[in-house]
Amino acid sequence: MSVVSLRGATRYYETKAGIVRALDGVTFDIDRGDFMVVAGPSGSGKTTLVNLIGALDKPTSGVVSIDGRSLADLDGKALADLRRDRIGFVFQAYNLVPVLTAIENVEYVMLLQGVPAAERRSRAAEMLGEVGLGDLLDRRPDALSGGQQQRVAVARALVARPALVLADEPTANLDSAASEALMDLMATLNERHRTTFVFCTHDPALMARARRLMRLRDGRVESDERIAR
Amino acid sequence: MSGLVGMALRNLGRRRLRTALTGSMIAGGTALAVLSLGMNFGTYDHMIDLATRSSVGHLEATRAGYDRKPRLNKTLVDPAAAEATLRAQPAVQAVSPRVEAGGLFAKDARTIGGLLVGVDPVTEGSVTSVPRSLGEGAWLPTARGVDDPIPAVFDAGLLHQLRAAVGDEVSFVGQAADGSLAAELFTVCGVTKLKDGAMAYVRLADARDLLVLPGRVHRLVARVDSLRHVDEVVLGARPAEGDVVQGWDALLPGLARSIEADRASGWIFLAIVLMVVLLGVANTLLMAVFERTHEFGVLMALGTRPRQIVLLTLAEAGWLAVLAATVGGIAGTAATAWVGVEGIPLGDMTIEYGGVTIDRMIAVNSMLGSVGVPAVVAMCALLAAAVPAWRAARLHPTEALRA
Ligand SMILES: Nc1ncnc2c1ncn2[C@@H]1O[C@H](COP(=O)(O)OP(=O)(O)O)[C@@H](O)[C@H]1O
Ligand SMILES: [Mg+2]
Repeated sequence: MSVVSLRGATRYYETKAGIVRALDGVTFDIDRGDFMVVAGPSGSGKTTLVNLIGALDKPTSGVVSIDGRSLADLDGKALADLRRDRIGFVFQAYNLVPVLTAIENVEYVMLLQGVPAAERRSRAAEMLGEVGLGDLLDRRPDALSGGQQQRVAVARALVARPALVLADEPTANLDSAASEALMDLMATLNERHRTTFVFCTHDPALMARARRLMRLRDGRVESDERIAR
Repeated sequence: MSGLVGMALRNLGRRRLRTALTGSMIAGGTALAVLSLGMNFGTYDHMIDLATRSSVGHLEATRAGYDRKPRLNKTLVDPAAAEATLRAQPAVQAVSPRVEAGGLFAKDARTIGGLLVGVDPVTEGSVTSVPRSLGEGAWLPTARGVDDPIPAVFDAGLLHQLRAAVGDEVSFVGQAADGSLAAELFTVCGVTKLKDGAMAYVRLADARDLLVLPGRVHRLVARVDSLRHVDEVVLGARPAEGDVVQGWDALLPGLARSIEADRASGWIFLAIVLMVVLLGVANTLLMAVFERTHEFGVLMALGTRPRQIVLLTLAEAGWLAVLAATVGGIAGTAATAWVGVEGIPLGDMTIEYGGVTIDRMIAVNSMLGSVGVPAVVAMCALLAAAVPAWRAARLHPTEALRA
């Protein structure tokens, strides 16, 4: 079964200038283990799409379901729980919680899940080891480089073993070496844990890593192809 | 990190200056409220103390109705029973009997109306401060020879009107309990400081002889260990049928009313402090929520429930409120204790209040002040955090992330 399915998913924004069709009738499935890049120019609707897939927003019309459950049927608490238990986010701007150390940031989702403290800590430490930050556990975000912060963010997104990891322009703030390293890391994690990854980007270097490449234009799917590597 | 509550504490440290300002506002307001309440209570106690010491005592046993309509024959039905029931209560420290009668005092051509009060020269000092606060002369002697002149202590006011002084003879004319004429010559042995007083104190035995009231008592005046126990003693006393025991508030209704009115104004001050705290906390947290909108978006994306966002925000206010109110409570209690011990002399600015002259500010600590006020302030601060917390929880995740 697919992890996420979209059927005619549409998201309009009402603005003073009129209605913006950010996403306009999109239909596709995301399958377990996909390593998928959603590409498209700025304003093509990538972030809008990720917000729907990530249960942060609901479609204006059409159906978006995660694990077979339509978002339209879920209230704020149920959506929060769905995000907590099934989805990991990696943001462009890292978005670590500034008052928490690296390991506490990684522990946060497990804290919400009610995982006991000792288990939380050992799993978070292990995950930070996996992303190569095993010796920076107790650093606050402001004492880490951009690349290091993004690795913490990846560890945070993955530690609770989500079905789906969503990354909206994760390399936009990184130099090319750090971008490459981050993509290597995520590709490895995808293979090792069969975690499903969806990236949004307009960075060709990132597109080149995709094993499924979907192009968006003006809120519509322009192409969707699987690439054997 | 011990969960969201621990995270909230760290959030407080992000804007140190703002936290410090709001915190000192809460702490300062709390301290002021505690101190002002303590000064109010202290002043009331001081006033009651002055009033009761100078005449009525903390409580009195009399014949029912004597207080409103004194009559020479309305003596206690059973003075021994009244004294026993008062002394039976551990809070009662001293009891002293009195008889009294209105009459005319005269010296040379001057005649002035006044109240003759017969007191026990020994025990009077333990229920009122009259024997200890004389302006001139000496208190009544314990015993007197049969042919010695009859000593009397006069209020300064009465003595002045008579143009008399210590050592002079003043005559008294009144009625005795048996209907006969009570006439006597007193020798002034001492003067009180009461410039508007109209009483003359003589030995209980002399007064009883003169007024023909053998063994009888108009008032049994009592002193208790603390004003807080007055009501308890009044309720616990079981005098004989026809006799009553009343507290100072019933004996001095004017003073009691003034204090009640002043208490109300004390609550207004507390209400103002609470308003300031409410606005300060609400403002601080609204600013924090506004600044951290994007961060709330991230927390929501990670799966934080709306209720947990509320908890995080309320906990931040809770830490601030509890810490600041505790500091304020301790500071206010310390300040109250300091004022209480030293007292603040008012100098020439004495205050005439409910028939009592206050010359010092006195403060007393109470559970209500030291614990109640900080608790109410902290609760109020939490209440103020409700609006920002609610706003934070209602943020839409995608809109918060765009901020
Ligand atoms: N909250 C919003 N309100 C109004 N318009 C929006 C909002 N979010 C996105 N848009 C508009 O929708 C379109 C798609 O935006 P977005 O999904 O952010 O594209 P991308 O991530 O590909 O740059 C753009 O025209 C953008 O201006
Ligand atoms: Mg975008």
